Amino acid sequence: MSLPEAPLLHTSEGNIPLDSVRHAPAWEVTPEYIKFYDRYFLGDKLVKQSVHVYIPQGVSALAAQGAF
Amino acid sequence: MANSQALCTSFKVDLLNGKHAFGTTVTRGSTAADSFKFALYLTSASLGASTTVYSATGELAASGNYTAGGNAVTNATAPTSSGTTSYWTPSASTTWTALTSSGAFDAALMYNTSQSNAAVGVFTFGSTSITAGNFSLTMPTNDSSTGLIRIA
Repeated sequence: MSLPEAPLLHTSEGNIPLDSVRHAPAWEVTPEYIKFYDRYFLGDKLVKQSVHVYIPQGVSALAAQGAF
Repeated sequence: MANSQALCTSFKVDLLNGKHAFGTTVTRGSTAADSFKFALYLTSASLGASTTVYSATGELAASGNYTAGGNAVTNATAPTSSGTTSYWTPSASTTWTALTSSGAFDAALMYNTSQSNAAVGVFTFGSTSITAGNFSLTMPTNDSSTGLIRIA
């Protein structure tokens, strides 16, 4: 019985074994947005990065009314 | 009971629904809601309050699974109001998959493809690059304090 093959990850360097890359997720939180980085490094090289942005608040227009 | 001066809340909702026209207006093909898109822009672009229409200038290049013009906005929830604020928010997030961006980008322009690509709003989120990955924009809660577009 053979061992299962190591899972592969699709990267900018092609499909490479998942256990050969370093996973480095990160968050960036500001009043305007919250951003999640899903990063994978091969050595020092960034080979895969997904980003997910949450907009916590949209834009507002203040309606002004004149008076007689 | 006394009268109070106010811009009617129903009018604010009507603005989002295109009901009033104080100037010359457009001819609509039907009473259906317009169609909108989100396009992504490089950090070198200059979008802002003065942007009037979608332009490919400064847009993320149509490569790496990004199509020029961007993604369609899902619009299944009609504008409404709470208190004296009218609001509207896309009813779903938008995602670009299997993307490698042509450069760093930091803004999404929402525009109206039913009305000659007229600009609606610019939303910024800091410099972002995608490498063999996905990019998603998740919408805020659709209410009077956080909705994507609000008229207070």
